[in-house]
Amino acid sequence: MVSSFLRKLKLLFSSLFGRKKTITLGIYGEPNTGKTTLANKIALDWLGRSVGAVSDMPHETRTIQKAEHVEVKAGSKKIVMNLLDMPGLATHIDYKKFMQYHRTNSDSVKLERLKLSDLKKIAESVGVEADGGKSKFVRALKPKVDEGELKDLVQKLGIKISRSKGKKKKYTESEAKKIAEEATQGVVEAIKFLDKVDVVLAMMDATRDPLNQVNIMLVGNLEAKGIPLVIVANKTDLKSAKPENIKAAFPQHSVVPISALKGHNLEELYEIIATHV
Amino acid sequence: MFKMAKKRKAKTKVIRRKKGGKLRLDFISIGMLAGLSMDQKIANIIKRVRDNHIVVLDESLDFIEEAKLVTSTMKEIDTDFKGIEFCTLPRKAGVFMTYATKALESLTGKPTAKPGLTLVGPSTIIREIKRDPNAFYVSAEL
Repeated sequence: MVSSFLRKLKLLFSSLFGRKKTITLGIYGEPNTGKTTLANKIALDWLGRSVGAVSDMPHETRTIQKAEHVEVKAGSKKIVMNLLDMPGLATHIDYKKFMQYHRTNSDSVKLERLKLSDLKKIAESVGVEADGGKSKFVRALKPKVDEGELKDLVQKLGIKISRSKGKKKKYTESEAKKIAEEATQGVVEAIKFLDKVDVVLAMMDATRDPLNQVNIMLVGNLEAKGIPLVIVANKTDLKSAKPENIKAAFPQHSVVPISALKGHNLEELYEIIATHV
Repeated sequence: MFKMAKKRKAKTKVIRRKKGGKLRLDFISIGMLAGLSMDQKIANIIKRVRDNHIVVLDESLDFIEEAKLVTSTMKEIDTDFKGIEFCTLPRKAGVFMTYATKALESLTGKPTAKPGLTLVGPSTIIREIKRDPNAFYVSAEL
């Protein structure tokens, strides 16, 4: 109650004196609600780099991923934020479930695996001049672009990478146990971090029933701590999406329907975040 | 022929498991939890759930206790214990009662029981919890 009052007082003072403030924005929610997809979309659009890997496997993000000093335009306002992509919140984690997923080499992107047309796009964006065939471009780009930069460029330029099916392997039991252990630590870390965020985006999958205990616990904790929150009804690009169910379940909060994957309605989301700064 | 025999064997196995399984429900009153700190209360619940019991509390955990229940559960997860499913159904108190309870808590330094209901069970037994504002519906399977 006291912390909520102090937070509101701080907000009032900063708005009165008009000082540009960097907010810490935490993206919370259940696994597979599109937290990293949204964080990547925001970071790629405004910072030019991605935040973390995205996959169908729940708990793909198992540590807090950060993108610092992201400047976003929201109408006439400018928001400066430190973006925190949180591990998915869950009440149970079964290591055996991870054994159903494939371990792919999607994390490593090699110049040699890209098409000549894609290599030309990359060369143009980093200002490397080269002529001739694929090998010449690879040789010219290798000293200029490291693996991390290449991964970001591939995502930014929308380059598709063909994955050879033969390399797909399922996680072994020991790997799955390790993932489960990391995932449990991630949940604990995410909950502890609730005290360090200024605004929270509560991500919910608009195709699922929003009235589950994780969402209720998350919203309840934020209300109890006095942390401003915006509920994001994600995956509106899917036919089965029902953002109106989320609005009905949490009528006391702003609910913004978006598609993080397609980038739909992000402007409205930025404008609502700006009202909390 | 061989395939058919194999199928029949698998079916018998399922039936045996059903016969052997026991569903254990622990109904716990407010009085039993009175005076326990949040940590003690959560440890008590998790101990029972680890033993494959479904715990029904005669009070509603508050949101801070729920977060503590989740973090404590995460620390307990291993190859045998996969976690929990839970649901709370708080009974809405009036504004006066809410402030009176908070004042009492700050005076005594001890948490008071919140009226309502809480169900906590192992995620391996509780398959699904569906809820509406005034009720919840649990599907369990042994």
